[in-house]
Amino acid sequence: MAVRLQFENSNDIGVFANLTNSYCLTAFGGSENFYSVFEAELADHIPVVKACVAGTSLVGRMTVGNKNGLLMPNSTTDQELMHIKNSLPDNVVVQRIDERLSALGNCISCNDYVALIHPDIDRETEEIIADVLGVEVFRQTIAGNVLTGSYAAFTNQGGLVHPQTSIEDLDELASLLQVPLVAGTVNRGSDVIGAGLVANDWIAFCGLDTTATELQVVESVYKLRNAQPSQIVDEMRNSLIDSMM
Amino acid sequence: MKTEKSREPKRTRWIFDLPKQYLDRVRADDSTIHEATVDDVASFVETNATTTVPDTPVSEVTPEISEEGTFTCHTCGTQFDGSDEQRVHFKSDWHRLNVRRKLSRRPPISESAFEASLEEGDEVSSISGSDEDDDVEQPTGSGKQSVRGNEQLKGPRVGFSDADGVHFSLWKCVSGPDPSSGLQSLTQAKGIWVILLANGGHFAGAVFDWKASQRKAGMPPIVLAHRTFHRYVIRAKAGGRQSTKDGTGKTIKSAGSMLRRHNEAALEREIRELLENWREHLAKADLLFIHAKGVNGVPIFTGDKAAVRKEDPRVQGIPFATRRPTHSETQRVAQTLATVFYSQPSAEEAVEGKAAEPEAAATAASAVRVAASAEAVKTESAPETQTSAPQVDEFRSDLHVASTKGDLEAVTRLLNDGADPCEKDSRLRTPYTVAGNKAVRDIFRRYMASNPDQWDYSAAQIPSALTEDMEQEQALKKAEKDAIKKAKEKERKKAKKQREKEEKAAESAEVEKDAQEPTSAANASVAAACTTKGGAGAQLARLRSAKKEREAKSNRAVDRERELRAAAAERRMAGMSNGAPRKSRSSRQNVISKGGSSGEDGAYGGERCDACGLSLAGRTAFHRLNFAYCTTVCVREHKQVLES
Repeated sequence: MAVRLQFENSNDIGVFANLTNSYCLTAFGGSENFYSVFEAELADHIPVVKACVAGTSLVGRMTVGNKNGLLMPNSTTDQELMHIKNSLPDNVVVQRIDERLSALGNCISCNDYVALIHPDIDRETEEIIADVLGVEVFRQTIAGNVLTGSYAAFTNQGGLVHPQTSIEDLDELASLLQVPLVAGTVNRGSDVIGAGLVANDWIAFCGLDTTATELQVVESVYKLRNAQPSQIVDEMRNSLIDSMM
Repeated sequence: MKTEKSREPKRTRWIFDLPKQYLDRVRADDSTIHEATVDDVASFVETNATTTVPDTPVSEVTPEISEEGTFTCHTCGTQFDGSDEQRVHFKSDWHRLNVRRKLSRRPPISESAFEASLEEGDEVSSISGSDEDDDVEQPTGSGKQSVRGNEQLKGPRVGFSDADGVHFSLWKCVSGPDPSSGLQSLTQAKGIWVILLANGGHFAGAVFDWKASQRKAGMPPIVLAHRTFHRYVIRAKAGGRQSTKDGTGKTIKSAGSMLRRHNEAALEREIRELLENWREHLAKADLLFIHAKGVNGVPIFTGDKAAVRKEDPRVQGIPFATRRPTHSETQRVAQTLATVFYSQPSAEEAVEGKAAEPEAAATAASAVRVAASAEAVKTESAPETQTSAPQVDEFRSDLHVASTKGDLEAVTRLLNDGADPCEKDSRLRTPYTVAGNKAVRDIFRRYMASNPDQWDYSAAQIPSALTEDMEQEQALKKAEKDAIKKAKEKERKKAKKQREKEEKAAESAEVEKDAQEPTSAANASVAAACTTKGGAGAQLARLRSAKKEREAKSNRAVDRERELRAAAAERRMAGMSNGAPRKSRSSRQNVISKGGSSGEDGAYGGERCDACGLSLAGRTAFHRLNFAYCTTVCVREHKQVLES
C-alpha cells in the first residue's frame, strides 16, 4: 500500500521522516497531521517516534537506518540521542557518528543488507555503517550524483532510482543490491527520490503531489500490493512448509 | 668527486634514502635554523605531487561493456563472472579510486596501472574519503593552497649543504640536537619511529620502520603496528573536555556528561592498554613523535606504569600543524618529518642575512616576483624537475618581506636604495600596512618626512610624516605624562601611608581604652541605674559607634558591658516600689545573691523570666515594659496577671 501525505505544505516527506522495517521517525510539526498519518498506518506494528536532530526537523535527511540500527550525525544533541535510544526497540543500535558529511540521509542509501554510500565518506564511518547497520557497503554514484541517499530509495523488495540512470547502470546496481530497480520519479516529476518518498517492506509514503502513475510504479516496484507485515510472515511460512514437505 | 656526485640521487624524497657516504660528507650550515621558504614548499609540493596517481603513465581504459553479463563495473570498465566477484571489486581500492576519478571527470585507470602506482609508493589511504581535503597533493593546486602548505611547514629546521654546494634542510627534531653529528647517527639508527597523536577524543598511533628490508628506496615506511581510537569526550557545542569542565567545581548530571565521563575513562584505558602492548616497539624506537597537549597526554605520560616518560630524550614534538588524528595522518606526519627539503638561498634570505653584498642589494632594490625567481632558480639548478610544478602565485616585494619581519636596517636600506613603498603585494597591501611593529612604521614615516615628494604616500598608505620636531614633541609629551603619572603614584602612596599611620594610632588608643574599660563600665552602670531608658539607649548608641570605630575589639568587652548594664537595671528594679511579682522576684534575687559569691555574677545569673522564673542565661529574652520573659507565652500570661 502506498499513502500520499504532506508535511506542512511540503511534498518532500522523505526530508521529515525516516521509515524502516522496525521503526519510524517523524519530525515535530506544527500540527499532528503528519505524525497521525504514520501512526494510523504503522502504530500497530512498529514504534512511530517524533524526534528532531540537531534542533531541526530534518529527521529523514540527517539520519539513516534500517531494521538493525540508526546512525545519527555528530550535530545531534545528547538529549535527542537519548530520546531516540529510549523510544526505539532494544535491538536497534543507535549510534552517533563523527562524519564530516553530516546529512547522512543524503549520503547513504540502504536496505537491511546493502548500503550505497557517498564516495567521500570516511573509512572509519564506512566501518561503522557496516557494523551498526549490518550491511555490505559500496561506494557508488547514481547517475553521476554522489548523493546516493537523495537519488535512490530502496527496500529489501525493490528500489526506485534517479530517472536519468542509464539501463547499464541500473542493471549493475540491481546486480549489486540484488533487488529489482526502476528509474522513476515521485511528486509529479521530482528526481529526488529519497526526499520524495519513504518506504519499507510493506508500506510506502509519498508526497501529496505524486501522480497516480507514479504511485502505481511505487507500489509495483516495492511490491506493496496486498503487502502487510503479516503477509511477509505468511509467505515465509508457506515457503518453509513447502520446502519441508 | 664529480663522478660520485652524478651517481647519487639528485633529489631524494626522504632522509632515510640518502646514501651513507653522502651523509658522512654533509655539513651543517652556519645559519642553522631555516624557516620554510616558498621554494622549499614548491619542492615539497612537487615531491608530494607524486603521491597522487600521476596522469601521464596511466594507460587509459575506455569502458567496454558487453551485453551478455550484468555483473559489470562501468566505472572501471570491467566484467565479472559472478556476483561475489563483483561485490569484492566494488569494495576494492581500485574501484574507489576510479569512482573518485570519474567524479573529477578524469578517465578511469586500469588495474595494472593502479597496482603500479601503488608500488611507486602510493598510499591506498589517499583514495579513502578521509584524505579528501589534502588539496596540496593535487598537481593542479592553486597558489592559495600552496600558501596554506607553506604555513603548515613553517618550523625549526636545520640547514645542511654537501660538498657540491647543494643546500637542503631537515626538521630539527629529526636531525637531533647536534646537527653536525646528527646525520651520522641517523645512519646508525634503527629507523623505527613511533608517532602518537591524541586530540579531542581521537587517538592515532603507529609504528613505522624506515629501514625494513622490504622497503625499497622512495617508498613510504613500513607500518609495523597502528591503532586508532575515537571516543565522544568533547562537550558538544560548548567545547572542551568533560573532565576539564568538572574540574571547575560544577557538578553536571546530564545524560551527555555521564556518557562523556564514561568515554573519557574508556579512552584513557584503551590508550594505556595499547601502549602497554606496544612496550616492545616503544623500547626499540629511535624517536617518539608525540602530539598530545594537556589532558590528552595524561594516558601517555602519567601513571605508575607510564609507557613513555616525558624526560626521555627520544620524545619529540611535531613541529608543524597536524590534522585530526587518523592513521593516514600519522603516515603523513612520518613522511613529512622524514622529508629532505632542498633549497637555494632565495631573495628573501638575502634580505634576511645581513650580508650586504652589492649584487644582493641590487636584487633587493628591484622588487622581484619571489615565486618567479624561485622557479628560475629551480629550473637553473635542476632542469630535470617536472614542469608541472605548481605556480606559486604569491607576490611580495622585498620591502614587504623586510617590513613584515621587522628588520629595521633592511627597511631603511631598501628605502634609501629607492624601493617603492607604494607597491602592493598579491593581497593588495602596501609595505607600510604589513609592518611588523611600530618601529618599522616609524621608519616609513620618517622617510616620508625626509623625502616628502619622492612617492605618493597616500598610495603607500602612510598616514603622516614623522619629523624630528614631532618626535621631540612626542618625547616631551611622554615625559610630561610620565611625570604626572609618577607624581600621582607618589601622592597615592603617601596617602596610603598616612591612612595606615592613623589606623595604627586609633588601634593603640583602643587598646588603652580597653584597659580602662572595667572601671569606667562600673561607673557607667551606676549612671545607667539613675538614668532613664533613653539614657541607656544613648549609651548603647555610643557603644555602637565605638564598636564601629575599632574593628579589632574583643567580644568579651562587649559581653561584659551588657552584663553590667543588665545588673544595673536589675538593681534599679529591685529598688523600685513593691509589686507582687517584683517582690517575689526581689526575694528570688536575694536568694541568688546569697548563693552567688560576687554581686555581679549573682546579678547576671539571677536574670530570670518574670512569669515562670526560668533562668534566662544563655537564651534571648523577650522584653515588655521592664520585664523579661523566656517565651511569648510567659509574656502573655504575665500581662494578664498585671492587668488583673
